[in-house]
Amino acid sequence: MSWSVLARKDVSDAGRSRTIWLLAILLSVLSVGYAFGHSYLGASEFPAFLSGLSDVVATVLPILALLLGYKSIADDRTSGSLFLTLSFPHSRRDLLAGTFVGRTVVLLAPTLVALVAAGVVGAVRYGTEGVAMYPWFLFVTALYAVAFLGVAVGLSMSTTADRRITFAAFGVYMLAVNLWGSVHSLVMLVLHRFDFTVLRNMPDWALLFRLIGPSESYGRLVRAGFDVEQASRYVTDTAPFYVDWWMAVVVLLAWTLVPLALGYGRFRNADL
Amino acid sequence: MVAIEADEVSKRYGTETALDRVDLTVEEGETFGFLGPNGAGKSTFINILLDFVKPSEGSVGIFGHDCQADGTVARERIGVLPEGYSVFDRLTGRQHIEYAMRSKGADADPSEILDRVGILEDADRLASDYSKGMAQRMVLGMALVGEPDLLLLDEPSTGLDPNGAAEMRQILREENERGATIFFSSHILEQVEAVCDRVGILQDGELVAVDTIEGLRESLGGGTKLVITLDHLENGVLDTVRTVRGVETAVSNEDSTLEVTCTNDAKMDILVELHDAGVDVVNFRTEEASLEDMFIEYTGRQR
Repeated sequence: MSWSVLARKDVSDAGRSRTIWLLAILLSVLSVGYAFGHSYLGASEFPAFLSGLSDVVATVLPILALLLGYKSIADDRTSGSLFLTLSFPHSRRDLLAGTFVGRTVVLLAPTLVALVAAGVVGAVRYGTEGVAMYPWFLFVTALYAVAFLGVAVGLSMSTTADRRITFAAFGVYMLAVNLWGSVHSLVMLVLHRFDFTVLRNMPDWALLFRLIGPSESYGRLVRAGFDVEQASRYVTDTAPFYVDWWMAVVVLLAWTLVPLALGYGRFRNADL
Repeated sequence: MVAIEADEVSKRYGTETALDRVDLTVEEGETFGFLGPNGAGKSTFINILLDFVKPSEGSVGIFGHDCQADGTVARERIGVLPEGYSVFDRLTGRQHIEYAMRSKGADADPSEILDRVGILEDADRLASDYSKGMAQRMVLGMALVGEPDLLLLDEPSTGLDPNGAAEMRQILREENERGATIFFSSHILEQVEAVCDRVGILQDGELVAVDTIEGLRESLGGGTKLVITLDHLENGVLDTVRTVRGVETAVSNEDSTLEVTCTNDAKMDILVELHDAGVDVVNFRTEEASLEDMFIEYTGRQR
């Protein structure tokens, strides 16, 4: 259980970082604030509130996860505290597991507290119809957050070049959170010689590629629980089986694990 | 049992050779000093032992466990003071010791260890506020956790004042008496001379000598220097001295003193020879060649 020692150390070390607490407070303010402000933006029903909240979370949470993880191992490596960590009988795989688990705890604890608070405010203001699905929302939000943590920790293991890590983290955020849909649409348009009808009626394979964007998958999962309109393109009768909700879970897990595996591959035999 | 065994270990960075086919055996219970100027490759060697760095060729083992293939097992029985570390920013000294205890599955009293290394008063301060010397003491404390069979220390006296360095040496002696093998690197000679049974001298990545301190002295011509003050210096006195068996060099200074390096046995012979030649000896003293002379001799030779 070597990794648990490292996870514990990571929680007590990273968990005391002031930046992290500022970000956690920011998230709380935003989500609880949204719970109060939703009535000005959308229908006063719990599912609509949740849909709006998930949009806020989908934008903010990846920033938190990336900031928390993208320098986790690289910084320790540059400063030399990794020498202190690894001069004890821990393997580098233990370090990966310990760091990942530790940062997950540091990320999810304040996130879940903030979201539960927002949920309570939302239920009071917009009624309790649909509240039963709130744990599902928390669960898929955790999956979504952890996916970005996987990317970040993976990046952090791959190199010590500060600037490269920073750019990569920023690039991942822009692509995965903001641009995936637009890039996807653009590619579809180019492939179909700017026949715009393709966007309303995508071929099956294109639907899968759209779903591979983590924010798209997250949205798909949130709406799987609430049957909101926006999920429509994935749930029509003609939609292929491989864009069902479980595929979105697979996608998020892949976003978590593939970068971790790639980063570890480079880290495993590197000179520190 | 062998504590450390290195077999033809080399490390190259591109065209730079940091370590060149180092063969080294450190027996259990020894205090071994790893000596060399900065940049000679000492840290590279220790980092390979800790699996921070992978060797280009060759292998090293600690108590029979390969440091690369079996690194975590190899590190189970050792205590480490690495070079170029930094402390965990947001943990206190006490929490550092507790991390060491959990990592090794060891039962210990953190206060006792902190007291032993002399930072008990600062135990509950953040280690990032420690001075370099205090951090060094704390990490030594972490290394002592769990009574390791081998202490691996890279430049342990860095940042310590002379007092601290003496305390450190005292702790190393105690640990050695308990039965631990000690392996430490240094570029400062007195420290090695003061505590080590055997010494290895590393120069430009090559291990140029491994011997006891006496052995090194002997291999450098007995290492005794005789300084003789004469009544007055006559012609031919130097030649007289040089004829004595065992004399290696004899030089004279302005103020009619002779400096003679020779084997230990030759000292009396020289004095007798001078007496027989009718030269008045006013005073004489012997100086043991310090490790520093040897060190310069060894490392100077390479260039």
